[in-house]
Amino acid sequence: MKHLRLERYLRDATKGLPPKKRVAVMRELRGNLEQHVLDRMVAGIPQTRALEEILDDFGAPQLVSRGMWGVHMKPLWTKITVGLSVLGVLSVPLFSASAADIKILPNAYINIDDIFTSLGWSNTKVEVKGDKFGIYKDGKDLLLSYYENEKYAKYSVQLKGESRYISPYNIFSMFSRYTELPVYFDPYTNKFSIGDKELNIVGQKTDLRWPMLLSMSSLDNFLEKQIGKHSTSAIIPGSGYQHYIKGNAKANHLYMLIWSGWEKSRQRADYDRRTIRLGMLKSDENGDFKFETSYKEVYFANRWESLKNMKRNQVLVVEMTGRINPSEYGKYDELIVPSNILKIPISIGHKAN
Amino acid sequence: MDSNLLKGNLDLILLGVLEGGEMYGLELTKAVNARTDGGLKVAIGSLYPALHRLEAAGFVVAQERTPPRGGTVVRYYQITDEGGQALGAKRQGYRSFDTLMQNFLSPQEETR
Repeated sequence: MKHLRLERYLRDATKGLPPKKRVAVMRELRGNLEQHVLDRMVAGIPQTRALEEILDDFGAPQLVSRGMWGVHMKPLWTKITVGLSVLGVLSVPLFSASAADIKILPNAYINIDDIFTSLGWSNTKVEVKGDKFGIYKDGKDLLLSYYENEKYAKYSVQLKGESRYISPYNIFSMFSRYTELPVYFDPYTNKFSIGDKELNIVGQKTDLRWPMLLSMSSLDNFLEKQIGKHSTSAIIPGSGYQHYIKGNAKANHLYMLIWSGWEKSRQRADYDRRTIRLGMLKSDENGDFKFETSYKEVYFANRWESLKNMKRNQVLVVEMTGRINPSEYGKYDELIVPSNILKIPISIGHKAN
Repeated sequence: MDSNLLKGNLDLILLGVLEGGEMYGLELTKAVNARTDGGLKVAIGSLYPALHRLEAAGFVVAQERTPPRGGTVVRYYQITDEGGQALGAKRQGYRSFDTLMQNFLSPQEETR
């Protein structure tokens, strides 16, 4: 049974799972959906309508993907993080030193360089065997290229510029934007895969795990330090990353992390254009905190000095207390922060006047 | 009904249904529905992650098979001995909780 909405549902419901598991879960969901459809067809409902109704009943696919991620991926991350902590790897004080100096706001800046370690990424090449594209980082440039006859013959995108951090996570993100296929990085084997194709990493073989784990761990450390709750984290390729902080949510307490960066573009490498992005830490229905990031580009009004003064690669941490009224994720046009009292108008998707 | 109540007891419900024999997802939802006269409806977003969690915990085992009406294979879940023990413990826990909750189900008598 092939149906556009069905395929989209299955894809979204399994997002973030490793390829083999993803295929298995897709098969299970598809099998059950088909049986649901058969039930309705027996009752005289045409197949297409039956499927539409069932997909409506199934609800948001993200509910399944989040649940499945919690079962299949979270323990893996916990194991890795704990394992490396035991080995002392994560105790490298790349961030913790900065965290100690952080004052909660409104003017606490953290340099992303402190969060993301920089390793020698030059000459690291990632190629996709059998597919005609790949990513090649050459010194300061990042190349997204077509792959022809064992050579990178034609470059579709070239990100020229200053030396900067390129993480596996960035690479997933790049791939995710260029392909609908699931992109996965296995930190155990240090291998990428796209769909069912495995990517070979050639050239300088840098341990890809560290920057990613350190960066996630650092943000965890920060959040844990500030909130005093146990936290766990995950990278969900293609859909941003989410942090869950277990504990009793303080309903009127919310952190907003804003970081500056460069604009991503399918058409051109225009990362000089300054953008900021938002991360929201808010309580969920179970009384836990959830930290969500948004990939939407956020252009900010010049009315808030703290935002106006942000430099590239800085994170602004805002602690908001009092009665907070953030609207839904991805839809917030305005954050109202009445704590003596900042009002921060933020528009998404267009430049504010 | 408060969905958190269902969510909090989902493992008990699923294991309780699987105690009667192996089933796949759709059959499980139907069984829960039938057993509660339509009073409980298990959301798909919770069902499959819960089944996978129970499997990871060793409380159920799963086997892929084509269902009787044909089509794509589905996973049939079967309760294990450990699952049976966990079910017993969950039932006991729920009964204890229910007993305590009875104290709150009537208005409190005023004390003078």
